[in-house]
Formats: sequence, C-alpha cells, structure tokens
Amino acid sequence: MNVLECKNLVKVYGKVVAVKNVSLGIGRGETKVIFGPSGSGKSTLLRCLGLLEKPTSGNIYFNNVDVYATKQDLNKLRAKIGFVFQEPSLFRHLTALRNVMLGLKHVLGYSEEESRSKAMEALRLVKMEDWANYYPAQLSGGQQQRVGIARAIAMDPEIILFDEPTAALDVELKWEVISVMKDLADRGITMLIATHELRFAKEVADEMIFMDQGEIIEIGDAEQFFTSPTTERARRFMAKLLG
Amino acid sequence: MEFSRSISLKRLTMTPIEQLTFLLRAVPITLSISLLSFLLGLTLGIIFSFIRIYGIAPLRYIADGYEKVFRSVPVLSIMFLLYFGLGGYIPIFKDSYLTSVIALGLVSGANQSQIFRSSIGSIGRSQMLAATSLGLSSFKALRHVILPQALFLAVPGLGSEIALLIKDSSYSFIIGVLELMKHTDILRAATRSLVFPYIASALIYVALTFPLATYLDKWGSKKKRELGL
Amino acid sequence: MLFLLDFSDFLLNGFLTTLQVTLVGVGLGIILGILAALGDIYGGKIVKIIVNVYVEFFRGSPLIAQLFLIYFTLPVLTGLKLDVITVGYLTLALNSGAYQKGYLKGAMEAVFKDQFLAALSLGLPLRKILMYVVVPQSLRIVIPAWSNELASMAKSTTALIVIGVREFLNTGVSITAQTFKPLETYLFITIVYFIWIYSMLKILDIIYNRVKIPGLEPVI
Repeated sequence: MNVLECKNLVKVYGKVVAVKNVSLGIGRGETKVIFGPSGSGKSTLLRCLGLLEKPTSGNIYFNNVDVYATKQDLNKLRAKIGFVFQEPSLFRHLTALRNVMLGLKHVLGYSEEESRSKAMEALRLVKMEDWANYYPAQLSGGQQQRVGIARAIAMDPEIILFDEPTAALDVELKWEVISVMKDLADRGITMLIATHELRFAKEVADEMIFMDQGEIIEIGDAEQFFTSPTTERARRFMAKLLG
Repeated sequence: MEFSRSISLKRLTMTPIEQLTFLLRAVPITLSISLLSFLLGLTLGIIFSFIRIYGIAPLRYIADGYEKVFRSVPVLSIMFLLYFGLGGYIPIFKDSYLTSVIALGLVSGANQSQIFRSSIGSIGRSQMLAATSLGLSSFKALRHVILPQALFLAVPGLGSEIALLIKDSSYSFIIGVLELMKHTDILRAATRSLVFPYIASALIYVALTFPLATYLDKWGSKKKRELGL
Repeated sequence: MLFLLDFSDFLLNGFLTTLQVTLVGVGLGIILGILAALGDIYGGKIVKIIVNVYVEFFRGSPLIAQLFLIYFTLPVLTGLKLDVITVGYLTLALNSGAYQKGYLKGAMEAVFKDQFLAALSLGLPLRKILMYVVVPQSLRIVIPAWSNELASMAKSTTALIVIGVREFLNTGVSITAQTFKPLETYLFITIVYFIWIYSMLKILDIIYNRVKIPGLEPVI
C-alpha cells in the first residue's frame, strides 16, 4: 500500500509548466530518490506532495484517500508528512529545542514536558542534543539541517520528503546530514528524497526516479542508472554528474 | 504666529511659467543652506566619530553627549532657541540664514557622527593595526587609511543626509529665511492661489532629493562590492 | 525659569498634544505602511506604481510642504475642509507610512519567505503560524526601526506650527510673546524634548535588547 501517491499531477505557474503529468507512489518503508537537473520540477513536485502547494490538476492520495477530492483537513495531513527544505528553514526566533517542540505542542497538543522530552529524543537521533539551546544563527548549515530533520521526525510522520537537503551546504558539512538520513533509512522510515548525492542514493534507494523538464524520464534501481541508463537524457545527465 | 501676512500685495496674475521661475529662483538658497549645513555637519561628524572611537575618556563622553542631545531634539526648537533666545546676545544668531545653517549643521553633525561610526566599525580594527605597524602615527593612520575608507562606506548614508537637509531646510522658513518654502508662501499671497504654488514647490523638493536618495545608494553599494568592503 | 510655572497647564497641554500627534501619526503610519508594503509585494503593476509614487512623494518633500498641501490645497481641489488637528494627524500618518513602508516590506519578506512554508509543513493552522512564527519574528525585526520612527516623528511634529496647531513648541511662542523671555522658554522646551525623546529611545532599546535573538537582525 502506498503511503503517498500522485496521479497525473500537473503544476502550472503562469505560463510555465513546472510539473507535467507525473504519477508516482511511495510504499510504506520504502526509500525513493528523485534526481535531475535544477529546474526539472523536483522541488515543485515535492511541495505538491507535501501539500504545501495545490496542484493545478491531478490527484494526490494519502493512505489511498484522495486528499483534495474528499476535502481532507490539510493541516492534519501535513502534520503526518514531514518536510525538510533545501535552505535551512528553522524558525529564527526559537532555539533548536523550541523549533522541534513547536509542532509537538501546538499541532499535536502534547504538554510542555512531553514535547520537551520527545523533542530531546529527536535531537538525540540527529546527534544535536548538545546544541538544544542554541539559536539557528549560532549553528552551522549542516547542524541547522539536522535540527530541521529532527523537527520533521519528532512529529512521528508516516513519510518524510527531503528537498535537496544538502544542496546548500559546503562539502564537509554534507556528510553529517547524509549520515543522519542513512540512519533514518536503516530504521525503515518511509522517505522520498530529492538529491544529487548519487553514492548515498545508491546505498539507500529502493528506486531512483530521473526527472527532466517537469516529467519523469526514467525509473529504475540505482545499479541500472550507474551502469546503463535506458534513456539518452538520463545517460547524459549521469555522465555529467559522475564527471 | 503670523508668518507672512505682512506681504499683502494686490493680487498678481502670473503664468505658470512665471510662477515656476519665481520658485526656482529660491532653489539656490535652499541648496546653499543644505550644503553649508551639510559641510558643518560633515566636519563635526568626522571629528566626533573619531573622538568617540579613538579618543580618550573625557572627550569621548563629550562626543557621546553631543550625539545623544542633538539626535533627540527637534531642529526647529534649536532654531528658536538660537534665533529668538540667543539672537539678543550673540550677533551671529541675529541672522536667520546663519542661524538655520548652524542649527541644521549641529543636528546633522550628530547624524553624521553616527554614520561614520558605523562605517568605521565595518572597516575593522585590523586596518588601524596594519597602518600603525607600518610606523604611521595614529593621526596619519586616521587621515590616510581610516578616513578615506570611511568616507567611501558612508556615501549612501551621507546621500540621504543631504536629502534630509534639503527637506529640513524648509524649517528655516519659519524664522524668515527667504528659501523655497518662503518663496512659495510669498507666491501664494501674491497670486492668492492655494493650488499651484504648493504643488509646484513640493515637486521641486522631490526633484532635488530623489536622485540623491536613489543613485547615491546604488553607487555606494556597487563601490562597496567592488572594494570588497 | 520659575516664571514658567505660571504656564504649567498651558505647557502640559501643548506637550500632551505633541505626544498625541506623535503616537497617532506613527500608529496610523504603521497601518498605511503595512498596506503600502503589501501593495508593493503582492499588488499588480498599477498598485505598485501608486505605492511608489506615494512613497517617493512623501519621502522626498518636506513635512511643511505636505502640511500646506493638505491644509490649503486639498480643500480647494476636493471641497473637503478639515480642522487643523485632523490635518496634523493625516499628514503625519501619510508621512510616517511612507517611511515605514520600506522596513515593513523588508520585515515581511524576511519572515514570509521560508519561515511560512516551514510552519505550514508542520501542519500549523494560519492563526498559529501568525501567532507563533510571523508576529514574534516581525516584532523583533521592527522594534529598532519603530524606535527611530517614533523619535523622528516626535521631532517632526514641530512643523505643525505652520498650520497653527497648539503643540509643545508653539506654546513657547505664545509664552514668549507674553513674557519676553525667549531664552529661558526655548531652553526649557528643548530640554523637555530631549528628556522625552531620549528616554523613549532608551526604553525601546532596553526592550529590544531584552527580546533580541542572534541572527534575527533588524531591517532599517
């Protein structure tokens, strides 16, 4: 059964078609990776799946229920879909701990103490417990992203969407975020990850999806993409990424 | 308070061009007040900002006090204090033009001192150390290393300061200086028109201040990037 | 300066008028500034042009010219006759709104960009996003600018003298006319302005330092 699924999803901004007719599903416990050139529509697709933007047309299903057709309470569903952004987007006026607590307290309705202990648990998972009382500006980009992951994971979501979480980071900071994501994959957490870190993708992905110009061009396992992509566009992109 | 009822001419009929010419004749006066008070403020601003950053303790307190006082009082109340209050004792304050320049300059000096302090702050201590390590005296280091950079960084701030002075020079109309606002008032009385003079003079002010605020700001940030400051 | 005691009620009334026009001017200015900022961010082409013409005009011309325009010219053009104090409120509000639009726009853009989406992704409803994310951040960003604005508005209110509003400095004009003691009178008035404006700046500074957070820098 798919936790999150879209059928014939289209998203248009003005005259630009960002996502063209994409269908995709992520089953429970699966880890899927989306990759493709910048501007290929990955971000838009993820935001639509995260219910942060309304698709122009097409359907999105959460646990097989059509979200928009049955007029679901979007905020309830958003709480069950974790989202990690490309730019670290911690709330700047709150400490790391308070960032993680915000959703626990004000969305899930936990008490102050419960929120605090659950938040600390999530911070421990990303090895940020020692930085709980620091403000975002006092943390490195990689540390901010790890807190961002903790903020998502603390909500105990059914799936987490990652929108190129390492793209804005320096090389030496990438690995700490990647190792946290690997850890999550090992725990069997359902994830859809947009990333260009192909070695990481190879290790965790049950399936890789290549997108270009708003469309899914090729779907396959990591091995296939590394050795013999079937489409010309994927082959060229792989060649460029692998240098 | 009556300002301009004294001029009670017969109603004049003037074409818009003639009216505009009349107003434009006041522009040099408005600009000269602004420029002179700007220069006075620049001098005070540089001196006081340097004292506040590099000076010894008692002088620093004086500079600090000057900045605080003149940033917290209305320029018009200073003009009144100097012109009506001190005019009887100190000859220079009998002259409304000079009084305006001094009042505006004193206030501007406090503003500019702050502008320079923040630009010196972004130059950093290392420049001063580097200069003194070459054997330059502190005065020479300030003069040849810190000041040129500080001036550069201060350009956008100084641009809006001139714009502010052009606008605030209109206060001097109240103590009778024959600048643009006063010309507007005279024109209003002469033509008995409440529309053209006021709209025209407001637009003249906008035309004078607009380029300063817009272009100097852009120029300043471009230069700043080029110099890597 | 003891003779000023005879005028204490008169001076107090003038001061209260000044205080009132300052607060109303800045208060209404916030509303105008927010509307102008929203117009400039989300509005169409025409709205953007209107906002920018408004801002450039009121930032580019002296307050005195604006007071004359609204006191003298506006009634001729529209038939709308306003009393002096209303002209005072209106002009100060329009003037302040034009200045405030700038940093309010900056604050809104800073807060709305990524922070809003992040809050949304947690499932927070709009009301809670505003309450726990947007407002606490915007206030911290905006306090220093407000403090500047209050001080500059407080000083600008002296311009109201040209349309005859009985504000604080204007009481000095009347007192001087009766007592012929301009030096003491204006010195006293200037000192009161200083104490008032300086302490206002200081208090807001203390408040800001108490609530400020690293990385959440003010936009001015």
